[in-house]
Amino acid sequence: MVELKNVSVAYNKGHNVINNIDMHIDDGDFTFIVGASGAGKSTLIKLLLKEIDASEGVVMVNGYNLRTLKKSRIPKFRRTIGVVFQDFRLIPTMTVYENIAFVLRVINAPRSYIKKRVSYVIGLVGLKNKIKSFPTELSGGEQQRVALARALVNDPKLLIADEPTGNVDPELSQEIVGLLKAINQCGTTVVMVTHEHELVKHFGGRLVNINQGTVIYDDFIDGEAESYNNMDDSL
Amino acid sequence: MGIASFCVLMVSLLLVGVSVLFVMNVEILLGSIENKNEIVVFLNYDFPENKVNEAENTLKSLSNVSEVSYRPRDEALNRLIDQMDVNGSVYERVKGDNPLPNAFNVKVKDTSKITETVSQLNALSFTDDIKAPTEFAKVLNKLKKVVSIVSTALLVALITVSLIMISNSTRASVYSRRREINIMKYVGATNAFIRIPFFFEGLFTGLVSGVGASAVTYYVYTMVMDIITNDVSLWKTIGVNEPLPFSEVKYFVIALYLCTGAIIGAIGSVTSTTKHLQV
Repeated sequence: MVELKNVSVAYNKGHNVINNIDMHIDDGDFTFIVGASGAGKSTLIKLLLKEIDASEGVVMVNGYNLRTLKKSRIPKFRRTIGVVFQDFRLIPTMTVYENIAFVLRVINAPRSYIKKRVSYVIGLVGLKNKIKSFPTELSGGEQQRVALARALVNDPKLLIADEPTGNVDPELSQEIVGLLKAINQCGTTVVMVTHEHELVKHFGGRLVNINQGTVIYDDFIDGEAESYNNMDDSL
Repeated sequence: MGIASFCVLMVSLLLVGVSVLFVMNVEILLGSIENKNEIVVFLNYDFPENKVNEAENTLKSLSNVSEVSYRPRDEALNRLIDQMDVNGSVYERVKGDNPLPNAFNVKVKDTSKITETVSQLNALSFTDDIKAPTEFAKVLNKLKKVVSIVSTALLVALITVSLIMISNSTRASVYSRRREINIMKYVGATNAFIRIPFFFEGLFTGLVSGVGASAVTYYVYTMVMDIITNDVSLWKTIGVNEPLPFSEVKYFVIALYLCTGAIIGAIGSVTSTTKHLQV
């Protein structure tokens, strides 16, 4: 669950990047956040990841009050979230398997569990045949699917996707959002930031439009896609 | 951490080690000069021979006195004759009626308290006169203080510079892994978890650099010692002890290099990660 109450963020005094936002995202929701460049989308993501603090208001994510959360508790909080970035942020010196497994190593998961879980999520994103490949040997779409698997491997309550289709072509974009939708159907809350309105129209769902740090639209829209569940039967 | 960090750390350790060895040798030099710093206590001319032991015990009981040796007047005269070489034969005539007094040679534990000790010796009933190198002791003590301050400041400065140098050279290697650190932070790694590999890497580089620095010091120090101790009579003429041979300080030097290398390597490596942990 994500809850923002009267949240403002100011990098410089007098200029709010986020301006008195109220937002509530229930467990299991899929929410698109759209807005032009500089609208405050990235700041909102940083806020949800506790990378920055709100100047005013209350930010609650997965039961953690981020304004009062101590630095020492941030790692534990972040383990409840999965993140996918536009630039994938894969480690080039690690194979696909290692890129995903190291998330579980961070939390000292047993080796046998790591092996089982990583194989499972690699299967989910359809990259079983690329398990020993390095990121540079993969296409943009494949790299993003590895990033998605990495975000999922820890079984997060909330998945934040920051422009996940920004570096892939339109066909692959639909595939990636389809995967996110399918993940959401399994119970994971998904917040996806995008500036591609066509994708939102295609898939439909809750749409939050931000402009100059303020929510100007927040409602559900119907999608054109028939069923994203058919995109990957393994999900 | 790569070859660059290893080289930087080894050079830093060599600077520290060479300075320590230099200071140790200077202290030995000063120590041997200090050992020659004797007070001569001349006894009253008519002081009875049978009370010499009693007087010696009185001298030994003084807190700053480390050694007392009795020097009978005949011995003093013989030494004087020897020292005068050819002209010494002039004194042969006075052997039957030796004008020199009996005396004690007294060594002190702490030359900085020599004036105080001289006052105590002067107050003794059997003392006729005293010859004490008080001015020389003052200069020596000043010199020791200066050496101590300079060596401490030099070590602190060298260790600080080493830390900065190693921190800078590891920064490049940490920078290349900033993406990894960044992702680790996003997936919930603690700072300690991220720092541990860097800590051990720094520690290992420090230890390897320590071994390298020990080997270089061994060869260079032994070579230099061979040259400067080649002529033993030189040191005897100067009247000071020979410099420390490497065999006497090898464990100390190796331990110094390994410990300093490990500490500087680990701290330098860990501190260079700090910037990238602020996510």
